[in-house]
Amino acid sequence: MATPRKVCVIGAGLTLFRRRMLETGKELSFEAVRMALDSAGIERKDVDTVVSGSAPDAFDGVHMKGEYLLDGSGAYRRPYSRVFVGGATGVYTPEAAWWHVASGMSEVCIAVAEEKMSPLQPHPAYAFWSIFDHDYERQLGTTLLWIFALEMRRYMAVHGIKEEEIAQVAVKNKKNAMDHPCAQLPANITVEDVMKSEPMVWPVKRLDVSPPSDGAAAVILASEAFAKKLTKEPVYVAGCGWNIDSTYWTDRDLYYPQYLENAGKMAYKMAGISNPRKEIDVAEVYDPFDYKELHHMEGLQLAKKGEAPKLTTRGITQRNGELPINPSGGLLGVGNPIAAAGMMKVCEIYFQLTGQAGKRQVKREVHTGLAQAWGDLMQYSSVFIMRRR
Amino acid sequence: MEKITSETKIGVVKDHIPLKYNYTAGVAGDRFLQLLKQGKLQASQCTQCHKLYLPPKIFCKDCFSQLNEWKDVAEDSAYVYSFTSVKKEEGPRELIALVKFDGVEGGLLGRLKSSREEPRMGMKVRPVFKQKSERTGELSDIEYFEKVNY
Ligand SMILES: [Zn+2]
Repeated sequence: MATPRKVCVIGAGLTLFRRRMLETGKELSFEAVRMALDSAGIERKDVDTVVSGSAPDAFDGVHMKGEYLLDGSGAYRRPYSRVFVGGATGVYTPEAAWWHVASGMSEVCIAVAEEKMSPLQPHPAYAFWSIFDHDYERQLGTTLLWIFALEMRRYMAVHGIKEEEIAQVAVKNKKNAMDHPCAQLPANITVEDVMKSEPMVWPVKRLDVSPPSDGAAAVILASEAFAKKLTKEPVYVAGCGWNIDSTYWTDRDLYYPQYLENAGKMAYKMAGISNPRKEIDVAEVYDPFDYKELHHMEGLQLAKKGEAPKLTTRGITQRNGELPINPSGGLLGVGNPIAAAGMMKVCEIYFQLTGQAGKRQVKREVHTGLAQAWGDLMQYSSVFIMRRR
Repeated sequence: MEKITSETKIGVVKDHIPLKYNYTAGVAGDRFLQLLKQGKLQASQCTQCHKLYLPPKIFCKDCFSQLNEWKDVAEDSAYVYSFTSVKKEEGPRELIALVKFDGVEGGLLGRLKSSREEPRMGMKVRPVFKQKSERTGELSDIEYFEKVNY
């Protein structure tokens, strides 16, 4: 394989995440991209390509969302495309932008992710009706929550994990979100609060779950030569990985995300990482549900199988811990506008690497950070690693 | 950056997009559902890598060969792989299980018949079909799965 050229991240921006925003999807995209351009200190005229990422069209209620969002994404009369891998879209979008620049086809590429979930009535979750198999799943009235409950249950059963151990993740992330200016559901809660919250689909309770949201987030990628005109110490894209499991979720062993292990290995290989647990300084892993943070830490080899709850109990994943996980507050605290939520994680790692995370800045020194998202039907993972020299 | 303090004060334009669909069950799905109507549970088999697929497929996702062989799924091979308890807007709380079958790739999502005993992971179950006259050639021809003691 020819060696791709080095790519840097030069700016990041995001909007508020809220249950309903007045701004349309185009306007949200504009605000995120405008902030990212300002953060990089460049203008749209400096940008030569754009990639937009957004999850199912059914949320916004506008088909061909890529086309719909283009002006607000900064793509007017530029090479442009929309990418879509369900919930994993937010971290996959900067990977698609990376191809643009790494291949030499582009000098500066905007990667923007948008989701406006609030239009769908009576609840955004209704969009998920349309993702299940029409012959084998929809008849029963299958919802996404059922599937996650089956997966959570399987993960708990294989390792003997208690609901209380999983609830610690919601407590940590909602607390971390109190320092995030865009956060929708920051809160100071206890494990008991999570345990006592409204049961949804056993064992999933209200506070185990992230909220649907409106929002957008963006990063700007550029060639090393371009980035060095802006700063002496740019942040580099160190690794990209993506992988998918079978369409048939019933074929998989739900206790462990093998597809994520594969995506992680792909990214680690590119980044020259042989021991992720030691070499990753901070990680934003996808946490639409609290158990998913643990599941994903294990798939990423940041914890051994079944070990992530123990690391959480020992405080290792706290912001001042040895391996801070989701210092932003994650989806559980900041909110879950699907594609934008993944991109929010990429932004957070950029802020952590450049010392711009303010109160959220982790205690340990950070050189290498990882963002990960998960999607399609519980089967896709995208992994994006950034490094500051 | 915060301009809106109350989301309920945001003006909205209401709309409804009516869309209807007629899905086909597919080559494998159609045969599988017709067999189900006869009270038979069959999986398709890959003769290259000896995998049995349920629901059946016409291709092997791994070696990518075309599948033409079908085999009965042994009735005593079914077990509860994972389960949950759900409450829909209407009706009582229901037990939903992902049922897998020994030696078979895949599984079926279905209702679990409640009993005084709590369900367990790995519990042996069997499919119970609807009365012949009530079957429609849909997955719901399996009314539920029930615990068995072999
Ligand atoms: Zn095969």
